[in-house]
Amino acid sequence: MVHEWSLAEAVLEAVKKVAIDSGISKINRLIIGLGELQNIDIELFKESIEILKGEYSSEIQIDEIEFEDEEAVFKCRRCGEVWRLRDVELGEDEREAIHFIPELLHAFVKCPRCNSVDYEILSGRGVVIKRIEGVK
Amino acid sequence: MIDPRTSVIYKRLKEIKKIFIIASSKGGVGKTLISILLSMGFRDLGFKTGLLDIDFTNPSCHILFNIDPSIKPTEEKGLIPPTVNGVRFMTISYFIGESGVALRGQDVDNIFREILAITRWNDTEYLIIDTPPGLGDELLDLATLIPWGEVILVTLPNRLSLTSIKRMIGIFKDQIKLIGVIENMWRQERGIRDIIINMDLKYLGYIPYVDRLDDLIEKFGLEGVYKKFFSEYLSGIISSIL
Ligand SMILES: Nc1ncnc2c1ncn2[C@@H]1O[C@H](COP(=O)(O)OP(=O)(O)OP(=O)(O)O)[C@@H](O)[C@H]1O
Ligand SMILES: [Mg+2]
Ligand SMILES: [Zn+2]
Repeated sequence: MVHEWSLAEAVLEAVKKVAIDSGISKINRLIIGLGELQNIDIELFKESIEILKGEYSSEIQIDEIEFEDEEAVFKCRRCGEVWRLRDVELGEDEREAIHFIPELLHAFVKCPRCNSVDYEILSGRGVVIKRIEGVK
Repeated sequence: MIDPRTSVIYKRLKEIKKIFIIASSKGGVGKTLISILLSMGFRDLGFKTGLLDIDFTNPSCHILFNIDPSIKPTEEKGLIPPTVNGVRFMTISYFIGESGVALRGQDVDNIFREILAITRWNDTEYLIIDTPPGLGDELLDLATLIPWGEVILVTLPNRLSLTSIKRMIGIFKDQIKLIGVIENMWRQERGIRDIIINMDLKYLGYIPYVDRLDDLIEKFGLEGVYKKFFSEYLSGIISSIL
């Protein structure tokens, strides 16, 4: 199993904690955001989530899971330029590094306008839990 | 929005018997050398030992280990750190080689969380964490994410380094679990043992000064230098922190 598994496990662990903290045992809808920068394999991630959902089923039940893609957007702290992933070029090894640790983009990419390495990842970084809709 | 990594980090680390964080507010006092020596010392006692380099802007453990650049972590439900010199070793250098990376606090925090969330230490018994100098984001993150981690301060036997240790204790004493101090580059009979004890800190032991250490490591290799100059000093230190 690939590294997507560990992120899926992170999601379920976090959902379990929220559920325990708020006294919920059944969740109607879970909305997961998938940041473009991390470029995870959505099929493998979904598959991992499905298997893990079974493993966690005694603690938490999740009816419906939705995935939302989020575009990666960057903003330069020096010149203010807002840019996207398609505005820069990345090699194969660089893509893999960023796949494991998105912030490593800073080692490979500079602001396309002013060449600064001081930029912010505004959105679309990685896996996030956007919403949990549950019942008591 | 919920960060899914925070909860899983505990799950990834909870089976490890003890996590030691090697820190100093001053740079160049030997944190990296001592992290490496400690990991080899634990290894020699037969423990499954891990080493994590969280000096993201200036990683250097891999240089001392003289790692073959083709070595990479194994992808297995996360990342399994390669075993180097008998130690399970994790660093971002596997991914960025020797290129530098300029980071803001938010990025440091994210890299740290990501590494902790995806690294599988499996049956590792002791984990040693090499930190960058200073009172920066890495230490604050450690206090937040691994509050049970045991911090070992490294100091040189001089006033500047001791002053820096005092400052650090002032800030962190009720934030982290400070277990003691290692004196590095010890040269004479009367080191700083009494001063440390007077500061109400545990003196864990010392590592002697070895002239032209970097040259010796190049010539005889890390293992050779470790055996000849350092291993005898480590057993005392390790038995006091086990
Ligand atoms: N006991 C020692 N005897 C001789 N030289 C030493 C000793 N300990 C460390 N050094 C040398 O001092 C230098 C700094 O050591 P090291 O990189 O371990 O310090 P550090 O605290 O990790 O530095 P930084 O704060 O930059 O991370 C290196 O060149 C190392 O070889
Ligand atoms: Mg260092
Ligand atoms: Zn710019």
